[in-house]
Amino acid sequence: MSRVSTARERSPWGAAAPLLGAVLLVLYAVPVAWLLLAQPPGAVLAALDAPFVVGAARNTLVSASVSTALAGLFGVPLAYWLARARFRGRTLVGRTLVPAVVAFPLVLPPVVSGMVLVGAVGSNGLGGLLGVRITGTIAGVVLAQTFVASPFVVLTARSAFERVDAHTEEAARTLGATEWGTFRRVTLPLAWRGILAGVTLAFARAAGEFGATLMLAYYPRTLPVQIWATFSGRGLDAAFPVAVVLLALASGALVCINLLGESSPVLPE
Amino acid sequence: MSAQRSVGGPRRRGADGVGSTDGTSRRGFLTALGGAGATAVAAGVSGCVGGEGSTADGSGSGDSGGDEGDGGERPVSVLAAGSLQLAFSEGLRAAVDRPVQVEAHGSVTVARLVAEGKRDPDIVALADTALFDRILPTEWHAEFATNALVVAHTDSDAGRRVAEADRWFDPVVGGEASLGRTDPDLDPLGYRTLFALDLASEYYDRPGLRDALVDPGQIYPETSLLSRFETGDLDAAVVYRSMAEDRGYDYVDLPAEIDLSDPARAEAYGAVSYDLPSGETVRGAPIAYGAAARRDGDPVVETFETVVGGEYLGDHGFVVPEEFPEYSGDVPRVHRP
Repeated sequence: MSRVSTARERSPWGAAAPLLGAVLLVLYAVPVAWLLLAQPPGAVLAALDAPFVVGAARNTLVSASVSTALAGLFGVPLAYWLARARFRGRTLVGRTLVPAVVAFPLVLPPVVSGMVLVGAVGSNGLGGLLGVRITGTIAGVVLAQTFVASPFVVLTARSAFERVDAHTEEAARTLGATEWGTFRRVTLPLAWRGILAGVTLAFARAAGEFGATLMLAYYPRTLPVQIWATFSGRGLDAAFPVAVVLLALASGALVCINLLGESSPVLPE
Repeated sequence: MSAQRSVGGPRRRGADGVGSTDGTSRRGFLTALGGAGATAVAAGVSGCVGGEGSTADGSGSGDSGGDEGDGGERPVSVLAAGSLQLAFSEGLRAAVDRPVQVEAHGSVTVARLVAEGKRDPDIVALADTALFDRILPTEWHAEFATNALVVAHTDSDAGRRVAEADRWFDPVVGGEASLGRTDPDLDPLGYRTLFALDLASEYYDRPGLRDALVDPGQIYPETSLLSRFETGDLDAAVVYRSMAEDRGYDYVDLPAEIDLSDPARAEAYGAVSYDLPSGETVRGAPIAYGAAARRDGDPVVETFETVVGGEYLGDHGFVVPEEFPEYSGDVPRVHRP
């Protein structure tokens, strides 16, 4: 009885959490609201009419989708490996060195990441050796975005996998499930929420990626590069409507990702 | 609105998978994602092609579709100083009958990108010909335009005070208006601002004027200076006349004795200097935009001729003196005037 009444009382934390949280929410929302309100709707519509904005929007959507898919395709296995290597406590590499490597792109300023990538895949690097041009192509954009955004998938998915009780997996194995079957039907569904959060973060980061993209592929333009170029040529008033387009596009795509992720996936046998 | 429509594009198949909730469609999730990926890759290839000719900035003067013609001809790539961006992506692209791709950064960045092999453009254009010696040694280059420093001011009370004062700097010295400038260690505009202020001390016979005007708290990277100025955070800023024209700023012209625009005053400008952190000393000199072509093909030669011809520059606040273009160094035969 007393337990029930305690639960109904408003605890200080229950009252404080929304208040404290609201401070941060206001910090996010006010500048964006200002951005939206300061724009005459006509200017935003006019920006949507310009072929270079449409082209940049398409490039952004395509490249961010591809780099998010790549981040998931390669990031989830890496996260799984890191989580399990850590659990077994087997290798020093798995426990310390690899996670540190995963954090490199998060620590480096994006412009520096871009410089490093240009050095590695540009005409003096791998691209020159193989005779392939990566800088200034959509592949360059995807590379920059994947480099900068994929750690979000790896790190969130790793902690999601770590939270999956290893005994559950062992039980599945004891009952005759293969390793793949266990991953597919036990581990992945249990970790799915965390992975989805990582994918969402990665997409948002990829869509807004500017510094590394600027260095690696100024063309084909993505919206963040276009916003900067418009700003340098024409000033803030011209650049803001393009920023509103980016905001609308990214929000729409993030809603789609979350709708898609509502159901946990079932991988093929 | 149409942003959301384009969201639907490559993701349509995935979105369909969400619509139904039975097990089959859940299984279909990854297939759908794969499908979306494939569509996206296909669109990516076309996006890549489309991007080659897309309009370089917010001008909307060219349509991205129209520049891709000429049977898939490779565009002439121009890596240019930031202050040339609009002039090149509007004026130059309109004047050249070929696809031209313009990329712009600060001049020092442009020179470094090329010197370090991180960019390989057909034509390089810098806001200071001295950079051709300092950072990006080339066999030759052509000076093709000058610019002038002006004091741009906002429409606020303080900004108007700068405009209406007998001498533009009095409200700044009196603390009634704030004056921003760019970082002298980062770009030529920054150290040229200091040259102009030094020259102003002498021109107005006000020793110490530069020190009175220079507030270390008001130094910004160029992008940040312009945002602060445009949002009214700064009342006045020293910028190039071309920037003020392109962006529609109100500005006060400075006398030719201090605005670094007059090639004939090279000697007087040379009396002032600035020590860069690298230990190099830059001397005052007339603002001179220089360009060099790095390839010899017909499209490049033709584009370069238009670049240095300079007819398109007037609309953007640049000045092209009679004697320009002025070539120096060992100019290859194909690029000779």
